[in-house]
Amino acid sequence: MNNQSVPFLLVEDDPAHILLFQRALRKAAMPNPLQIVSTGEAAVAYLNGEGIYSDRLQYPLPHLVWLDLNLPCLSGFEVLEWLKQQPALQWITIIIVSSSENTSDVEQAKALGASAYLIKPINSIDLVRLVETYVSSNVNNDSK
Amino acid sequence: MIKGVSIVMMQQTQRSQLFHYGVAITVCLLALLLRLLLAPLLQENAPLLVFIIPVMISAWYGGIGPGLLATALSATIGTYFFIEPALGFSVAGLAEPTRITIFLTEGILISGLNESRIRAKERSEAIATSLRKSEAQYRLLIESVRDYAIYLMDLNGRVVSWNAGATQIKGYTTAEILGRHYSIFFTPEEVERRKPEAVLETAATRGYFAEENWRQRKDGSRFWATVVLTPVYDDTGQLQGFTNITRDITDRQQAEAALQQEKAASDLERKRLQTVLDILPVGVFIADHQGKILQANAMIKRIWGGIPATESPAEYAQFKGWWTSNKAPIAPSEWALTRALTAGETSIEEEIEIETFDHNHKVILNSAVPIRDEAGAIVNAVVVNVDITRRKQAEEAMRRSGERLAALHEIDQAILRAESSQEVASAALERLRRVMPYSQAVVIIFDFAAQQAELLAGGIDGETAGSTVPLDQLMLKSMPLAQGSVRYIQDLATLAERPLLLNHQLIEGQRSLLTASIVAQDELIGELHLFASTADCFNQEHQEIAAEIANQLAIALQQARLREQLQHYATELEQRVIDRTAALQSANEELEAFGYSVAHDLRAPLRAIQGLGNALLEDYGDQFDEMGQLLVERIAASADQMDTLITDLLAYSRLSRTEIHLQPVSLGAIVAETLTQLQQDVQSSQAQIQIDEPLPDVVGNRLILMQVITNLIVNALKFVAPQQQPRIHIWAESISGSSSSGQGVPCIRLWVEDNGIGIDPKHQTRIFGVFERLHGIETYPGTGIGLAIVRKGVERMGGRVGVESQPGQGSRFWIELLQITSTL
Repeated sequence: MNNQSVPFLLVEDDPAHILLFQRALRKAAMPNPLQIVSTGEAAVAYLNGEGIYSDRLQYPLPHLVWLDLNLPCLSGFEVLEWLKQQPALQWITIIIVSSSENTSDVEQAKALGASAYLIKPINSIDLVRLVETYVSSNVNNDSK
Repeated sequence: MIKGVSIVMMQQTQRSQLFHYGVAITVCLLALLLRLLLAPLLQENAPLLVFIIPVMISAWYGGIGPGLLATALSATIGTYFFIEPALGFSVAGLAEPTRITIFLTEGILISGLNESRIRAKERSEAIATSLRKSEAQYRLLIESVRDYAIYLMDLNGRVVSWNAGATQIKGYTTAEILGRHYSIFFTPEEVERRKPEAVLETAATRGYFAEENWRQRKDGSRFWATVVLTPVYDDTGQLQGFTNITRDITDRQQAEAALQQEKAASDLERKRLQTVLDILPVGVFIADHQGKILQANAMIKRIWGGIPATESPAEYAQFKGWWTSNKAPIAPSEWALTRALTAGETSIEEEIEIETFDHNHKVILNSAVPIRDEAGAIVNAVVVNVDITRRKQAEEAMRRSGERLAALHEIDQAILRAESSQEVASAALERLRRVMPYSQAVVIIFDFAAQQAELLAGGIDGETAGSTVPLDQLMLKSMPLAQGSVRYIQDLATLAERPLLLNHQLIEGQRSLLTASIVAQDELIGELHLFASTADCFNQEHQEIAAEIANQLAIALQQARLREQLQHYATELEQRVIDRTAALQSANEELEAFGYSVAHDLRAPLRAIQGLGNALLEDYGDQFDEMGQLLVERIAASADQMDTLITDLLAYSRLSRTEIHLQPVSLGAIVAETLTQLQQDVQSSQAQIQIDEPLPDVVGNRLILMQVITNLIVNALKFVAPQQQPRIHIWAESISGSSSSGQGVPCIRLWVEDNGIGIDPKHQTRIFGVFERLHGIETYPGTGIGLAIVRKGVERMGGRVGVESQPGQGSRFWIELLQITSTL
C-alpha cells in the first residue's frame, strides 16, 4: 500500500469546504479513496463499522481522518475524544481542519490526540506535507 | 593613858597641897619670930594679934586646910609663948581662954572665907577658860566658813569682822576691808539709790532684812547673792551693829534658770504637741511603756466616741475591732499598739473595722509606732487612726455604681449585639441578674389589639419565651402602670386583686414584684417583671435600675424591630440583587457565548468564501476580463477584512472572558518579543524604533501584554502620514499612579510615542472603544478594535491607559501597570 492508495475520511458538513478539500486533493494529485461523512455521529458509526459502514470493502477504515470541529450534534472534539478511547483505532491519524484560530481550540485538539491542526481554507501544499509526514510513517510501520 | 594623866594631876595637886601646908607652917614660924621681935614693944599685950597674919596668909594662899593649920599652930605657939604664963599652956583667968577662943574663931572664919574665895575664883577661872575656848571655836567656825560671807558691821555699816568665806566670795582680804563701808558690795546703781542705807534701816526697824540680788566683787564683777542682815544688840538692848551673811548663788540661780527655762520649754513643747494633736485631722494617742494611755487628741476621741482610761494592753479588750480582711475580731494582743509596745513593731495603716464607744461602726486605718529612749528601751508608743469610713462608703458607692454602670453598659452592649427582640430581651435579663436579686423575670410585649401579651424572654408560671398569654391574666386593671414608671408590690400576698398568673406566682413562692413599663415612641409596648421569693426584696436602687433597664429595653426593642424590618428589606434586596446578577451574568455569558459562536460560526463560511474566491481566481482567472478579476479580488479582500474583524473580535471577547493570572513579567522581554513578531511590518514600513532600555518588570500577563503592545506598535506604524518614515520611541517611568488597586500605588508607565498623524483631543476618549475608527477604511484600514483590546487588556491587568496627542504632532500612548513590590 502506498501513499496514493490509503483511504481518507473527511468529516465535514459544509459543502463549500468539501468542495475546496476535494479541489485541494486534486491539485495535490492525491487519488486516495476519500469517504465523506457530514456529522459526528456518522463519523463514529463509520469508524465503528456500524450499519452500512460494516461493509469495509465499500467503507474501508481510513488511515487519515480529516476532522472538522464545528459539526452538528457531536462536535469534532467529541469524536476525537471517542476515537482516542478505542484501542483498536489508535493507529488512525487525526488531523483537525477548522476555521478557528483559537489557541485553546488548538491546544485542546492536541491534548485529545490530534496529530495536526489545519486552518481553513486548506491548501494543497499543506495537504501534501501532512500526508507525507503521517501516511508514510504509518505505511512504513505497517510494512514492518 | 588617861589614868596616867589623872595620876600625874593628882600628884601635882597633892604636892601643891603640901606646899600650901608648908607655907602655913612657915608663916606661923615667921609670925612667932615677928612677935618675938615685937615682944619688947608689946610685952604681953595682944599675944595673938600678930598670929592673925599667918592665918590670913595661909588661908588666902592655901584655903581652908592650911588656914586651919595656921590657926591651930598660931594658937598653940601664941598660947605657949605669949599667954601668961609664958612658956606653958596653962592659962589663968577667963580673959586668956576668951582671947584664944576669939583667935580660933577668927582663924576658922578667915580660913573658911578664903576657902570659899578660892573656890569662887577657881570656878570663875574655869568658866572663863571654857568661855574663851568656846569663843575661839566659834570664831574658828565663822572664820573657816567659806561658802558664806559672814561679817559684822557697826551701826554705820562699816565692816568690823571678816571671814574666809567673805574673802572668797567678795575678793577683799580682812586687812583691806576692815573699817570700810559695806556699800562697796552694792552695784553702783544701788549705791546711787542709797540702797545700802535703806537696807540697814530696814534691818534695824524690822529686825531682819533678806534679799536675792546682784552684788559686786572687788574686781567689779557681779554675782547673784542671797543676803541676810540681822541687827546686833547689847545686853541693854542698845543697837550695836549688824551681822551680814551673803551667799553667792549665781550657779544655783543659773541652774534654776536653766531648769525653769527647760520647764518652760517643755511646757511649751507639750502645749505645742497638744495643739498639733488637737488640730490634726487624724486621731492620735500616746501610751507609756506599760500601755497606759497618756495623751489623746480630740480627733481620736471623736473617732472612737471617747477613749477610756486604760492601764495595760489587757484592758484594750474594751476596744472592739475586726480585721477588714477576714472579719476576725482583734484580740488585745493583736492591736498594733500592743505589738508596738511588746515587740517594737511599727504598723502602718492597717485597715480595720471598729465599733466605737458610742456604738457606731467605722472603718479606720490604724498605725502604731514605738518610741525608744537612748538605751533602745520602748518608752512610749504612738497610735494614729484615720477614719476612712466615708471614703469606704464612697468607694463602696462608687464600686456599686461602677458595677451598675458596667452592668448597664454590658446590657447596652449585649442589646446592641443582639439582633432580634428576643435576643435583646434575654441579653438584658441575663445581665440584669448580676445587679438585681430577682429569682424570676419576664419581658412582655403587649398586643392590645389581640388582648394578648407575648413573652419575649424569661418566663412566668411555666410559660416560657415565645408563648403568649391573655392580657387579663397578667395585667392589674386596678393599678394601671403609667408610662415610663415603676410599680413595686412589696408582697404579692397583700395584693387584693391578683390576675391569674400573678396568683400562680404567689403560690409558687414569689413574693416581691417589681414592674417597669417599656415605652417606645410614647406608646406602652410592654413590661419588665421581676419577681423575688422574699417580700420587699427590692430597694430604691433596684427600682431605678429596673426603670433604666426598661428604658434601654424600649429603645433596643424599637431598634430591634427596625433592624428586623431593615434586615428583612435588606435580605429581600440582596436576594433581588443576587437574582438579577445571576440573570445578568447568565445573559452576559449567553451573549458572550453568542458573540463567540457568532464570530466562530461566521468564520467557517467566510473561510469558504476566501477559499472559493481563491479557487475561482486560480482555476478560472484567465477566463475573466479585468473587471471580472477585480470583482473576484474584491470578494477576497472583503473576506480578508471580515476575517481580521472576526479575529480581533474574538481576541477582544476572549480578553473579557478568560481568567487572567497576573505575575511579574519583564517589559523588556515582552517588547523585544513583540518586535520580533512584528519584524516584517517594521521592515516593510522602514520604521525607526528606539527603546530606552532597560525596561522594568511589571505585574501582568505575558500573552495579554504582548497583545497590548502589539496593538500599540501596529497603531504607531500604521497611523503615519503618507510617505513618512515611522519613528517610534518606547520608554518607561516609575510613577505613583492611581491604578484600580487604589491611589498612590507604585506603578510603571510605559510610553509608546510615534510621529504619526496625532489625535484630536476630542476623540481621545473615543478611540479606546470597540469599533471606533477615526479614518476611512481606505486611508487607514482597520477594525477599530485594536485600542479597545489595549484598554481591555490593561484594565484586566489592573492598570490604566491613556494618550497625549495633538493632530499632526504625533501621539504618546501610555499604559500604566503595577510595579513589582515585595508583597508579590
